Amino acid sequence: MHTRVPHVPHSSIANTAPKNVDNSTCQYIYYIQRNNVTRYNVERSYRLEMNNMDMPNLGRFSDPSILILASLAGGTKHGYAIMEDIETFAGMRPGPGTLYGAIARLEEYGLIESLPSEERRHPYRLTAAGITFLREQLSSLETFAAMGLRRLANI
Amino acid sequence: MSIEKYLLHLYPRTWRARYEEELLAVLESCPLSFPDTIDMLLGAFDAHLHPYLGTRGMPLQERIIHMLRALRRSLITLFCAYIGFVLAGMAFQKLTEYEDFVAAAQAHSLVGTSFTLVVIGSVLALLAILAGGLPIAFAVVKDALATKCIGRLLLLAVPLLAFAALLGTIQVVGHTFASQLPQAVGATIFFGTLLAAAVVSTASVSIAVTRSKISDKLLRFAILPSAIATISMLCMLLATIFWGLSLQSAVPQLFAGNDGIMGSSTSGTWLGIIAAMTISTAAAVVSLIRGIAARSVQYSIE
Repeated sequence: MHTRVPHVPHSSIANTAPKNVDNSTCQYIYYIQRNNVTRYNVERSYRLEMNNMDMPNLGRFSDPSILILASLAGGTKHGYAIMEDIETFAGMRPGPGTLYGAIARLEEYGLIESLPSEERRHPYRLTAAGITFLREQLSSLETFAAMGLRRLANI
Repeated sequence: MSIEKYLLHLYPRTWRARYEEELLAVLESCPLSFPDTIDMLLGAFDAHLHPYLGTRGMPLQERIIHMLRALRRSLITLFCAYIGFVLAGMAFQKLTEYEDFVAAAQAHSLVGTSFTLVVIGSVLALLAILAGGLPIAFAVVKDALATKCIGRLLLLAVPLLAFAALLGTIQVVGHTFASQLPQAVGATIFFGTLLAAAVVSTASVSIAVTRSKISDKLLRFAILPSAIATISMLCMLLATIFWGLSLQSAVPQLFAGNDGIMGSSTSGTWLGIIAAMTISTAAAVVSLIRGIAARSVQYSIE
Protein backbone atom coordinates (compact mmCIF):
# COMPACT_ATOMS: atom_id res chain seq x y z
CA MET A 1 0.00 0.00 0.00
CA HIS A 2 1.56 3.28 -1.06
CA THR A 3 0.51 6.38 0.81
CA ARG A 4 1.51 9.93 0.09
CA VAL A 5 3.58 11.20 2.96
CA PRO A 6 2.82 14.78 3.97
CA HIS A 7 5.61 17.29 4.13
CA VAL A 8 6.74 18.04 7.65
CA PRO A 9 9.64 20.12 8.88
CA HIS A 10 12.77 18.14 9.57
CA SER A 11 13.07 19.83 12.92
CA SER A 12 9.86 18.18 14.17
CA ILE A 13 11.69 14.95 14.94
CA ALA A 14 15.26 16.05 14.33
CA ASN A 15 15.98 15.82 18.02
CA THR A 16 15.56 12.06 17.89
CA ALA A 17 16.91 11.27 14.41
CA PRO A 18 20.61 10.65 13.73
CA LYS A 19 22.50 13.31 11.76
CA ASN A 20 22.73 11.36 8.52
CA VAL A 21 18.99 10.68 8.25
CA ASP A 22 17.47 12.96 5.66
CA ASN A 23 14.21 14.88 5.62
CA SER A 24 12.17 12.31 3.70
CA THR A 25 13.03 9.61 6.23
CA CYS A 26 11.99 11.93 9.02
CA GLN A 27 8.72 12.43 7.16
CA TYR A 28 8.10 8.68 7.12
CA ILE A 29 8.67 8.44 10.83
CA TYR A 30 6.45 11.47 11.41
CA TYR A 31 3.76 9.93 9.24
CA ILE A 32 3.89 6.66 11.13
CA GLN A 33 3.67 8.45 14.45
CA ARG A 34 0.84 10.77 13.36
CA ASN A 35 -1.26 8.14 11.64
CA ASN A 36 -0.86 5.54 14.33
CA VAL A 37 0.55 2.89 12.00
CA THR A 38 0.90 0.20 14.59
CA ARG A 39 3.56 -2.44 14.86
CA TYR A 40 0.89 -5.03 14.03
CA ASN A 41 0.24 -3.34 10.65
CA VAL A 42 3.93 -3.17 9.89
CA GLU A 43 4.49 -6.79 10.77
CA ARG A 44 1.40 -7.87 8.89
CA SER A 45 2.29 -6.00 5.71
CA TYR A 46 5.80 -7.40 5.99
CA ARG A 47 4.47 -10.92 6.35
CA LEU A 48 2.18 -10.38 3.38
CA GLU A 49 5.14 -9.26 1.33
CA MET A 50 7.14 -12.31 2.35
CA ASN A 51 4.42 -14.58 1.07
CA ASN A 52 1.19 -13.76 -0.73
CA MET A 53 -0.72 -16.41 1.21
CA ASP A 54 0.09 -14.70 4.50
CA MET A 55 2.35 -17.65 5.35
CA PRO A 56 5.85 -16.75 6.43
CA ASN A 57 8.61 -17.99 4.18
CA LEU A 58 10.98 -19.61 6.65
CA GLY A 59 13.38 -20.96 4.01
CA ARG A 60 15.90 -23.49 5.28
CA PHE A 61 14.64 -22.77 8.79
CA SER A 62 11.16 -24.19 8.10
CA ASP A 63 11.83 -27.63 9.61
CA PRO A 64 13.46 -26.37 12.84
CA SER A 65 10.71 -23.76 13.06
CA ILE A 66 7.95 -26.37 12.97
CA LEU A 67 9.81 -28.38 15.63
CA ILE A 68 10.13 -25.28 17.83
CA LEU A 69 6.44 -24.46 17.40
CA ALA A 70 5.52 -28.07 18.20
CA SER A 71 7.72 -27.91 21.29
CA LEU A 72 6.11 -24.67 22.45
CA ALA A 73 2.66 -26.19 21.88
CA GLY A 74 3.46 -28.18 25.03
CA GLY A 75 4.00 -25.02 27.09
CA THR A 76 6.37 -22.08 27.45
CA LYS A 77 10.07 -22.93 27.27
CA HIS A 78 13.42 -21.18 26.99
CA GLY A 79 16.04 -21.98 24.32
CA TYR A 80 17.81 -24.86 26.04
CA ALA A 81 14.53 -26.49 27.12
CA ILE A 82 13.26 -26.26 23.52
CA MET A 83 16.47 -27.92 22.33
CA GLU A 84 16.12 -30.78 24.82
CA ASP A 85 12.41 -31.21 24.11
CA ILE A 86 13.03 -31.46 20.36
CA GLU A 87 15.75 -34.04 21.00
CA THR A 88 13.26 -36.06 23.08
CA PHE A 89 10.33 -36.10 20.63
CA ALA A 90 12.12 -35.78 17.28
CA GLY A 91 15.35 -37.66 17.98
CA MET A 92 17.51 -34.81 16.68
CA ARG A 93 19.05 -31.79 18.36
CA PRO A 94 19.14 -28.52 16.41
CA GLY A 95 22.46 -26.69 16.63
CA PRO A 96 22.50 -23.43 18.61
CA GLY A 97 22.91 -21.33 15.43
CA THR A 98 19.98 -23.07 13.74
CA LEU A 99 17.84 -22.89 16.90
CA TYR A 100 18.30 -19.17 17.35
CA GLY A 101 18.08 -18.48 13.59
CA ALA A 102 14.64 -20.12 13.68
CA ILE A 103 13.60 -18.46 16.96
CA ALA A 104 14.57 -15.03 15.56
CA ARG A 105 12.43 -15.63 12.47
CA LEU A 106 9.46 -16.96 14.39
CA GLU A 107 9.61 -13.97 16.69
CA GLU A 108 9.99 -11.62 13.72
CA TYR A 109 6.92 -13.09 12.00
CA GLY A 110 4.92 -12.87 15.20
CA LEU A 111 4.46 -16.64 15.55
CA ILE A 112 6.10 -16.76 18.99
CA GLU A 113 6.73 -14.14 21.63
CA SER A 114 9.21 -13.89 24.45
CA LEU A 115 8.11 -13.52 28.04
CA PRO A 116 9.96 -11.50 30.68
CA SER A 117 13.40 -12.96 31.20
CA GLU A 118 14.15 -15.44 33.96
CA GLU A 119 17.73 -14.62 34.94
CA ARG A 120 19.43 -14.65 31.52
CA ARG A 121 16.87 -16.80 29.74
CA HIS A 122 13.81 -15.66 27.83
CA PRO A 123 10.95 -18.17 27.85
CA TYR A 124 8.93 -18.24 24.64
CA ARG A 125 5.30 -19.01 23.96
CA LEU A 126 3.10 -19.43 20.90
CA THR A 127 1.04 -16.48 19.74
CA ALA A 128 -2.44 -16.85 18.24
CA ALA A 129 -0.88 -16.55 14.77
CA GLY A 130 1.66 -19.22 15.75
CA ILE A 131 -1.09 -21.62 16.85
CA THR A 132 -2.95 -21.10 13.54
CA PHE A 133 0.23 -21.53 11.54
CA LEU A 134 1.25 -24.70 13.39
CA ARG A 135 -2.26 -26.14 13.05
CA GLU A 136 -2.22 -25.54 9.28
CA GLN A 137 1.25 -27.01 8.89
CA LEU A 138 0.43 -30.11 10.94
CA SER A 139 -2.88 -30.60 9.13
CA SER A 140 -1.13 -30.59 5.78
CA LEU A 141 1.46 -33.01 7.17
CA GLU A 142 -1.37 -35.23 8.42
CA THR A 143 -3.00 -35.23 4.97
CA PHE A 144 0.36 -36.04 3.40
CA ALA A 145 1.04 -38.85 5.90
CA ALA A 146 -2.44 -40.34 5.42
CA MET A 147 -2.00 -40.31 1.64
CA GLY A 148 1.43 -42.00 1.95
CA LEU A 149 0.06 -44.68 4.29
CA ARG A 150 -2.90 -45.36 1.96
CA ARG A 151 -0.54 -45.89 -0.94
CA LEU A 152 1.73 -48.10 1.16
CA ALA A 153 -1.28 -50.22 2.14
CA ASN A 154 -1.85 -51.02 -1.55
CA ILE A 155 1.68 -52.38 -2.06
CA MET B 1 37.47 -14.82 26.17
CA SER B 2 35.84 -18.20 25.52
CA ILE B 3 35.29 -19.63 22.07
CA GLU B 4 31.52 -19.16 22.54
CA LYS B 5 31.97 -15.42 23.04
CA TYR B 6 34.28 -15.21 20.02
CA LEU B 7 31.64 -16.94 17.92
CA LEU B 8 28.92 -14.65 19.22
CA HIS B 9 31.00 -11.63 18.28
CA LEU B 10 30.65 -12.74 14.66
CA TYR B 11 26.92 -11.96 14.88
CA PRO B 12 25.61 -8.44 14.08
CA ARG B 13 25.44 -6.05 17.02
CA THR B 14 21.63 -5.75 16.90
CA TRP B 15 21.22 -9.52 16.91
CA ARG B 16 23.63 -9.82 19.85
CA ALA B 17 21.78 -7.17 21.82
CA ARG B 18 18.65 -9.29 21.61
CA TYR B 19 19.87 -12.91 21.81
CA GLU B 20 23.48 -12.95 23.07
CA GLU B 21 22.76 -13.51 26.77
CA GLU B 22 20.26 -16.30 26.30
CA LEU B 23 22.33 -18.04 23.64
CA LEU B 24 25.33 -17.88 25.98
CA ALA B 25 23.17 -19.48 28.66
CA VAL B 26 22.29 -22.28 26.20
CA LEU B 27 25.94 -22.75 25.26
CA GLU B 28 26.93 -22.95 28.93
CA SER B 29 24.41 -25.77 29.40
CA CYS B 30 25.77 -27.91 26.58
CA PRO B 31 29.44 -28.19 25.53
CA LEU B 32 30.13 -26.78 22.07
CA SER B 33 30.95 -29.55 19.58
CA PHE B 34 32.62 -29.07 16.19
CA PRO B 35 29.28 -29.36 14.27
CA ASP B 36 27.81 -26.80 16.70
CA THR B 37 30.71 -24.44 15.93
CA ILE B 38 30.02 -24.75 12.19
CA ASP B 39 26.32 -24.26 12.93
CA MET B 40 27.11 -21.07 14.86
CA LEU B 41 29.25 -19.78 11.97
CA LEU B 42 26.41 -20.44 9.51
CA GLY B 43 24.00 -18.79 11.94
CA ALA B 44 26.22 -15.68 12.10
CA PHE B 45 26.38 -15.54 8.31
CA ASP B 46 22.59 -15.88 8.11
CA ALA B 47 22.10 -13.12 10.70
CA HIS B 48 24.27 -10.78 8.60
CA LEU B 49 22.24 -11.63 5.49
CA HIS B 50 18.99 -10.75 7.29
CA PRO B 51 19.55 -7.49 9.19
CA TYR B 52 15.93 -7.37 10.41
CA LEU B 53 16.43 -10.37 12.72
CA GLY B 54 16.54 -9.29 16.34
CA THR B 55 15.03 -5.86 15.65
CA ARG B 56 11.45 -6.69 16.65
CA GLY B 57 11.81 -5.19 20.09
CA MET B 58 13.12 -1.88 18.75
CA PRO B 59 10.93 1.24 18.62
CA LEU B 60 9.55 1.64 15.10
CA GLN B 61 11.55 4.78 14.38
CA GLU B 62 14.80 3.14 15.45
CA ARG B 63 13.93 0.11 13.36
CA ILE B 64 13.47 2.16 10.19
CA ILE B 65 16.78 3.92 10.76
CA HIS B 66 18.50 0.59 11.41
CA MET B 67 17.19 -0.80 8.11
CA LEU B 68 18.27 2.32 6.23
CA ARG B 69 21.76 2.00 7.66
CA ALA B 70 21.87 -1.67 6.71
CA LEU B 71 20.75 -0.78 3.18
CA ARG B 72 23.38 1.96 2.89
CA ARG B 73 26.16 -0.32 4.20
CA SER B 74 25.12 -3.04 1.75
CA LEU B 75 25.30 -0.63 -1.18
CA ILE B 76 28.71 0.63 -0.08
CA THR B 77 30.03 -2.94 0.27
CA LEU B 78 28.65 -3.76 -3.16
CA PHE B 79 30.43 -0.73 -4.59
CA CYS B 80 33.71 -1.86 -2.98
CA ALA B 81 33.18 -5.36 -4.41
CA TYR B 82 32.63 -3.82 -7.84
CA ILE B 83 35.90 -1.89 -7.62
CA GLY B 84 37.69 -5.13 -6.67
CA PHE B 85 36.12 -6.78 -9.69
CA VAL B 86 37.22 -3.89 -11.93
CA LEU B 87 40.84 -4.37 -10.80
CA ALA B 88 40.62 -8.08 -11.66
CA GLY B 89 39.02 -7.12 -14.99
CA MET B 90 41.89 -4.72 -15.73
CA ALA B 91 44.32 -7.60 -15.20
CA PHE B 92 42.22 -9.70 -17.60
CA GLN B 93 42.26 -6.91 -20.16
CA LYS B 94 46.05 -6.62 -19.80
CA LEU B 95 46.41 -10.38 -20.21
CA THR B 96 44.32 -10.51 -23.39
CA GLU B 97 45.71 -7.46 -25.18
CA TYR B 98 48.69 -9.33 -26.71
CA GLU B 99 48.47 -10.19 -30.39
CA ASP B 100 48.50 -13.96 -29.76
CA PHE B 101 45.39 -13.71 -27.59
CA VAL B 102 43.64 -11.42 -30.08
CA ALA B 103 44.44 -13.92 -32.85
CA ALA B 104 43.17 -16.81 -30.67
CA ALA B 105 39.90 -14.94 -30.04
CA GLN B 106 39.46 -14.41 -33.81
CA ALA B 107 40.38 -17.96 -34.78
CA HIS B 108 38.39 -19.82 -32.11
CA SER B 109 34.75 -18.86 -31.72
CA LEU B 110 34.45 -20.11 -28.11
CA VAL B 111 37.41 -17.99 -26.98
CA GLY B 112 36.11 -15.00 -28.93
CA THR B 113 32.52 -15.36 -27.69
CA SER B 114 33.53 -15.64 -24.03
CA PHE B 115 35.79 -12.59 -24.39
CA THR B 116 32.92 -10.63 -26.00
CA LEU B 117 30.64 -11.65 -23.12
CA VAL B 118 33.16 -10.24 -20.65
CA VAL B 119 33.21 -6.94 -22.58
CA ILE B 120 29.39 -6.76 -22.70
CA GLY B 121 29.18 -7.60 -18.99
CA SER B 122 31.70 -4.90 -18.10
CA VAL B 123 29.71 -2.25 -20.01
CA LEU B 124 26.43 -3.36 -18.39
CA ALA B 125 27.96 -3.39 -14.91
CA LEU B 126 29.49 0.06 -15.42
CA LEU B 127 26.18 1.51 -16.64
CA ALA B 128 24.34 -0.05 -13.70
CA ILE B 129 26.84 1.29 -11.16
CA LEU B 130 26.59 4.76 -12.75
CA ALA B 131 22.78 4.60 -12.74
CA GLY B 132 22.68 3.71 -9.06
CA GLY B 133 25.74 5.63 -7.91
CA LEU B 134 25.53 8.98 -9.69
CA PRO B 135 22.26 10.09 -8.02
CA ILE B 136 23.84 9.17 -4.67
CA ALA B 137 27.02 11.07 -5.56
CA PHE B 138 24.92 14.14 -6.47
CA ALA B 139 23.06 13.82 -3.17
CA VAL B 140 26.40 13.72 -1.33
CA VAL B 141 27.60 16.88 -3.15
CA LYS B 142 24.26 18.61 -2.54
CA ASP B 143 24.34 17.75 1.14
CA ALA B 144 27.98 18.82 1.46
CA LEU B 145 27.20 22.18 -0.17
CA ALA B 146 24.05 22.66 1.91
CA THR B 147 25.90 21.97 5.16
CA LYS B 148 29.06 23.75 3.91
CA CYS B 149 31.08 20.65 4.71
CA ILE B 150 34.30 21.08 2.72
CA GLY B 151 35.75 17.84 4.11
CA ARG B 152 33.13 15.73 2.34
CA LEU B 153 33.78 17.52 -0.97
CA LEU B 154 37.49 16.83 -0.51
CA LEU B 155 36.70 13.17 0.07
CA LEU B 156 34.89 13.11 -3.29
CA ALA B 157 37.91 14.80 -4.91
CA VAL B 158 40.24 12.02 -3.74
CA PRO B 159 39.54 9.71 -6.74
CA LEU B 160 40.49 12.54 -9.11
CA LEU B 161 43.70 13.21 -7.15
CA ALA B 162 44.46 9.48 -7.07
CA PHE B 163 43.96 9.26 -10.82
CA ALA B 164 46.30 12.22 -11.31
CA ALA B 165 48.88 10.47 -9.09
CA LEU B 166 48.54 7.32 -11.18
CA LEU B 167 49.06 9.27 -14.42
CA GLY B 168 52.11 10.93 -12.85
CA THR B 169 53.52 7.55 -11.87
CA ILE B 170 53.00 6.23 -15.40
CA GLN B 171 54.80 9.30 -16.75
CA VAL B 172 57.73 8.96 -14.35
CA VAL B 173 58.11 5.17 -14.44
CA GLY B 174 57.14 4.61 -18.08
CA HIS B 175 58.94 7.50 -19.73
CA THR B 176 61.31 9.57 -17.59
CA PHE B 177 63.08 6.67 -15.82
CA ALA B 178 62.06 3.91 -18.24
CA SER B 179 65.65 3.15 -19.28
CA GLN B 180 67.10 3.32 -15.75
CA LEU B 181 64.63 1.13 -13.89
CA PRO B 182 64.45 -2.67 -14.27
CA GLN B 183 61.13 -3.68 -15.84
CA ALA B 184 60.03 -5.63 -12.75
CA VAL B 185 60.62 -2.62 -10.48
CA GLY B 186 58.70 -0.32 -12.83
CA ALA B 187 55.80 -2.75 -13.04
CA THR B 188 55.74 -3.18 -9.24
CA ILE B 189 55.62 0.60 -8.73
CA PHE B 190 52.82 0.92 -11.29
CA PHE B 191 50.68 -1.87 -9.85
CA GLY B 192 51.32 -0.70 -6.29
CA THR B 193 50.22 2.84 -7.19
CA LEU B 194 47.17 1.52 -9.05
CA LEU B 195 46.14 -0.62 -6.08
CA ALA B 196 46.73 2.19 -3.57
CA ALA B 197 44.79 4.66 -5.75
CA ALA B 198 41.86 2.25 -6.00
CA VAL B 199 41.80 1.54 -2.26
CA VAL B 200 42.12 5.19 -1.23
CA SER B 201 39.50 6.33 -3.78
CA THR B 202 36.99 3.65 -2.80
CA ALA B 203 37.48 4.31 0.91
CA SER B 204 37.06 8.08 0.54
CA VAL B 205 33.89 7.77 -1.55
CA SER B 206 32.50 5.22 0.92
CA ILE B 207 33.21 7.52 3.90
CA ALA B 208 31.58 10.47 2.09
CA VAL B 209 28.45 8.41 1.39
CA THR B 210 28.36 7.11 4.98
CA ARG B 211 28.49 10.63 6.43
CA SER B 212 25.92 12.25 4.12
CA LYS B 213 22.18 12.58 4.32
CA ILE B 214 20.81 10.58 1.43
CA SER B 215 17.15 10.13 0.62
CA ASP B 216 15.88 6.64 1.36
CA LYS B 217 14.23 6.69 -2.08
CA LEU B 218 17.66 6.97 -3.71
CA LEU B 219 19.02 4.15 -1.58
CA ARG B 220 16.06 1.93 -2.36
CA PHE B 221 16.28 2.76 -6.07
CA ALA B 222 19.96 1.78 -6.10
CA ILE B 223 19.06 -1.83 -5.34
CA LEU B 224 17.84 -2.49 -8.89
CA PRO B 225 21.04 -1.24 -10.63
CA SER B 226 23.01 -3.10 -7.95
CA ALA B 227 21.22 -6.32 -8.88
CA ILE B 228 22.03 -5.72 -12.57
CA ALA B 229 25.68 -5.02 -11.70
CA THR B 230 25.88 -8.17 -9.58
CA ILE B 231 24.33 -10.35 -12.30
CA SER B 232 26.76 -8.80 -14.81
CA MET B 233 29.67 -9.61 -12.49
CA LEU B 234 28.46 -13.19 -12.18
CA CYS B 235 28.18 -13.49 -15.99
CA MET B 236 31.66 -12.00 -16.46
CA LEU B 237 33.11 -14.43 -13.92
CA LEU B 238 31.57 -17.39 -15.75
CA ALA B 239 32.68 -16.00 -19.13
CA THR B 240 36.26 -15.54 -17.83
CA ILE B 241 36.31 -19.13 -16.54
CA PHE B 242 34.96 -20.32 -19.89
CA TRP B 243 37.52 -18.18 -21.74
CA GLY B 244 40.41 -19.85 -19.91
CA LEU B 245 39.05 -23.35 -20.38
CA SER B 246 38.36 -22.84 -24.08
CA LEU B 247 41.81 -21.25 -24.57
CA GLN B 248 43.43 -24.23 -22.85
CA SER B 249 41.50 -26.55 -25.13
CA ALA B 250 42.01 -24.60 -28.39
CA VAL B 251 45.55 -23.19 -28.00
CA PRO B 252 47.22 -25.17 -25.17
CA GLN B 253 50.73 -23.84 -25.90
CA LEU B 254 49.48 -20.25 -25.41
CA PHE B 255 47.74 -21.14 -22.16
CA ALA B 256 50.90 -22.88 -20.89
CA GLY B 257 53.09 -19.87 -21.76
CA ASN B 258 54.38 -17.03 -19.60
CA ASP B 259 52.32 -14.12 -20.90
CA GLY B 260 50.73 -13.29 -17.55
CA ILE B 261 51.06 -10.12 -15.47
CA MET B 262 54.73 -9.19 -14.85
CA GLY B 263 55.95 -12.18 -16.87
CA SER B 264 54.16 -14.75 -14.73
CA SER B 265 52.52 -17.85 -16.19
CA THR B 266 49.35 -17.29 -18.21
CA SER B 267 47.46 -20.00 -16.33
CA GLY B 268 48.60 -18.60 -12.95
CA THR B 269 47.47 -15.08 -13.85
CA TRP B 270 44.16 -16.46 -15.12
CA LEU B 271 43.64 -18.37 -11.86
CA GLY B 272 44.49 -15.24 -9.85
CA ILE B 273 41.99 -13.21 -11.86
CA ILE B 274 39.33 -15.91 -11.32
CA ALA B 275 40.04 -15.92 -7.56
CA ALA B 276 39.76 -12.11 -7.33
CA MET B 277 36.59 -12.07 -9.43
CA THR B 278 35.05 -14.87 -7.33
CA ILE B 279 35.72 -13.06 -4.04
CA SER B 280 34.35 -9.79 -5.43
CA THR B 281 31.25 -11.45 -6.89
CA ALA B 282 30.57 -13.36 -3.66
CA ALA B 283 30.84 -10.11 -1.67
CA ALA B 284 28.47 -8.42 -4.14
CA VAL B 285 25.92 -11.25 -3.94
CA VAL B 286 25.97 -11.23 -0.13
CA SER B 287 25.60 -7.43 -0.05
CA LEU B 288 22.76 -7.56 -2.55
CA ILE B 289 20.83 -10.18 -0.53
CA ARG B 290 21.36 -8.14 2.64
CA GLY B 291 20.33 -4.94 0.86
CA ILE B 292 17.18 -6.53 -0.54
CA ALA B 293 16.26 -7.86 2.92
CA ALA B 294 16.74 -4.40 4.47
CA ARG B 295 14.84 -2.73 1.64
CA SER B 296 11.91 -5.17 1.91
CA VAL B 297 11.37 -4.43 5.58
CA GLN B 298 11.77 -0.69 5.11
CA TYR B 299 9.53 -0.70 2.04
CA SER B 300 6.77 -2.65 3.80
CA ILE B 301 6.27 0.24 6.23
CA GLU B 302 4.80 2.27 3.36
